Amino acid sequence: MTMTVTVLIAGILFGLGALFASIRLLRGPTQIDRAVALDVLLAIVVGVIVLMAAATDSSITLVIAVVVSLLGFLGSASLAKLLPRDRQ
Amino acid sequence: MTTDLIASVLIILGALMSLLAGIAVLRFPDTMSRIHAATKPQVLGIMLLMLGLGLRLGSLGVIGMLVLIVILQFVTAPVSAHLTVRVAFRNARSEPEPEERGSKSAADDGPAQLAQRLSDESRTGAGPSLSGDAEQPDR
Repeated sequence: MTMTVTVLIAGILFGLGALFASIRLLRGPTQIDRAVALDVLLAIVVGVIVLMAAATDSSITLVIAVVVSLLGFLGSASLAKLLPRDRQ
Repeated sequence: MTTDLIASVLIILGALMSLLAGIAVLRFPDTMSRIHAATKPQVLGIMLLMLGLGLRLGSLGVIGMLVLIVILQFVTAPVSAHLTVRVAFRNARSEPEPEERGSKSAADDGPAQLAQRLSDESRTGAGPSLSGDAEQPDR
């Protein structure tokens, strides 16, 4: 009972956060804004995976959370390294 | 029961942190403040979520994996934020105006102005010394 309400509330919060971050991802004036929004989206994905593990009482999806957090760092660092100096 | 309630509160707080980051990334006026707000759910939100899940599942292997995720985030989030901010700062230095002219108070002391002032000072050879020192009355 408690868990159902928790999953509902946290799912709504995660969904709204992902919606706002993806609006910035579509609209961001520079490429760095898009990279930052993508970083926030990946953090939200890790959170949703953890929420799924809490909802189903199983730890099998946590491996995906480890991989996604590592890939998020890799993507952000390589975007910061490889983005062209020009704007827009 | 009490453990379940605490775990639920922690998970909801972590989700709230990511909602705040989403709102801030959408609403903040320039890139550096967006980066500042976007680093919060990657560290604090993930930590709260992992605490909640660890309280809920509570076996030793699961807690080891949760600690692994938290340590990875703690190590990698400042590094990637620093790399992103460095690129943003260099772009702001080459481009003198912020993106939204409408919000006047936020655009006053933006990173573009700061970069412009820094490059002006280094070009005239004044160095990092404060230019306001001359107007101060001597003590």
